[in-house]
Amino acid sequence: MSLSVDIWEKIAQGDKGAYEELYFFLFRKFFDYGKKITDDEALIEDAAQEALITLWRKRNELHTIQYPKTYFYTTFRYSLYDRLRKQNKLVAIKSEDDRQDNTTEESFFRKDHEKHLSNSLQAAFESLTERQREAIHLRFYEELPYEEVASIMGITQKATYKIVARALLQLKGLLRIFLIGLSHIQLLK
Amino acid sequence: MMHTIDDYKSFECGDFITDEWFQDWLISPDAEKDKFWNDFLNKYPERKYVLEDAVTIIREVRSRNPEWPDEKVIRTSFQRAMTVIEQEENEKVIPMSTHRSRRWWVAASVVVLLGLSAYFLISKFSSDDKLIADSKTKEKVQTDIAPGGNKAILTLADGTKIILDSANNGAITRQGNITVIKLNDGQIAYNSETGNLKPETHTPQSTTYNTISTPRGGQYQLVLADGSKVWLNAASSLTYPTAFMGNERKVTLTGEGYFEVAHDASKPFFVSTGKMDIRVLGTHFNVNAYGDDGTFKTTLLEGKVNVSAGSQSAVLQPGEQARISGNSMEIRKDVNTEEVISWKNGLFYFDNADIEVVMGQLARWYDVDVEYEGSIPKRRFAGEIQKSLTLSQVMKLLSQNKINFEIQGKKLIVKP
Repeated sequence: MSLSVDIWEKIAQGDKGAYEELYFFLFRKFFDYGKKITDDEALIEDAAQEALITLWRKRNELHTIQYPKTYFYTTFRYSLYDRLRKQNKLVAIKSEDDRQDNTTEESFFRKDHEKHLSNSLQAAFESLTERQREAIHLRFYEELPYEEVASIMGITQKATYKIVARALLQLKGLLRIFLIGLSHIQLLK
Repeated sequence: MMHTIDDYKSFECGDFITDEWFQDWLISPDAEKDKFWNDFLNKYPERKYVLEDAVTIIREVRSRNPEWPDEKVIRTSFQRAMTVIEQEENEKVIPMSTHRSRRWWVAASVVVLLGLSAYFLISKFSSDDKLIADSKTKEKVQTDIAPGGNKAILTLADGTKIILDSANNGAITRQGNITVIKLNDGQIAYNSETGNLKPETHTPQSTTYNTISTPRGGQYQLVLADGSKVWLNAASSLTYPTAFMGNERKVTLTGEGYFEVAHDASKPFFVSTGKMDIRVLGTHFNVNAYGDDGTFKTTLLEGKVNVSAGSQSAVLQPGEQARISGNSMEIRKDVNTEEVISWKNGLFYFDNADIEVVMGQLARWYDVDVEYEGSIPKRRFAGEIQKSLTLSQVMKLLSQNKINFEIQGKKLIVKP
């Protein structure tokens, strides 16, 4: 799925059809991104809507924004975190890992148990912190350079490298376990 | 930055996957990058397996399916956005940039959608952050259930019942030489005119007992004759003497209560529940005797208490919790005491709580009966919810965790 080449230009001219196309495109992207941060879908949807309305309001300034995509990812992220701070927090245990450093082992076990994870990659991702998931998402799914990942997350490029590297090494370890586990099962068959 | 293939000759798998240039190759391959890595393998063929391993891992990481919402969800959101945008354009209103006004605009879109009075909704929603985010559940407003409040029934020794949420402030009744006073903030206090006299120096009189009970959806605070404060949670009761005679202070609790007992070393304070008894001198502690999950708990915040159940007893230190279930007593250390008394501070607080515990609390506060339909996934919950939310707002928070609900009158049905 890709966007028309001149979509930003059309929107700047007030083309609502182009806006609709971008709305659908970015809403999916924001949703996918938001899901790496929280499970609260209603909150993600509200934040996505707000970012997209802002986009329309700023259509006259679009030409001054160097990376529009990055710019609106930042808007979306800010809106989502703002809402998360304000709302009542009730989350399934799995997103608590950041705050429960001392019980990592226990909570990892719980998480595994809760979700009945069939997919090992999913399981590996669940073990990452929210920030790690977020950085990995922006780098490997949104395919952004480190510079833009850093700018969206509001941290330095150096910190971004660090977060991504740690997350990858952790995923590598977990994926290894999975691959070994698989070959073991195949041998048994 | 220039890269040469020699830079990579001693790279291990972990070095490759965390290398920006290597990642760039897999994220956005082109002929130039392909050539670079081919050259590398031609020069260092022994690194082939390491490189393949690294490629596999990055591909694996990138292979995840995107999580996309339903088409319907986007359509609805887009229509709402267009309503906001068109309204702005029609009214030629310059969009305001403060956060507050943004909320107003979202609220405005809801107004149009529901065809309700704009004035009503805007004045209602702009005062409440929460409701804006809840735009999806607005349609259900009619069937919503309001949260509980300060409500209790006082039963006097002669059986007279006084409803405390409607009684006027000030002295509400007299029993012997004890005056029952309802304070401005809704709590009640006992004032003994002979309070300063030692029991043996004035005419002995028989002890009279009062009972305060809170209904579901009610909570209450009272001050006992000795100055001890008690907060009663919903669906709970406390039976206590209007004045403490003799050598001890004895009260009986059902449900849940938080106690701040006034210090009096000469008169120990006893709380008895069906399952456990607590003996204290002066201290702060919480007693949970609901038994939702078959466990009765006493948690100490300050001072020292002695908890006994059957033949077992234990002395608690601050931060410790005695848990009685069946015939066994377990002591937990370093309990989150904030969590334990969150109910009195206007919050539901869950830490690794199962659905029965969550529902037990909701049933008592919203005065609903909970029924389970089908097999409910075994999930545990962590987090906090304000007790001032309506039931449907709470349901919405919970349904994000893949548990569904239906409200039918006073019945809350939980579905997988």
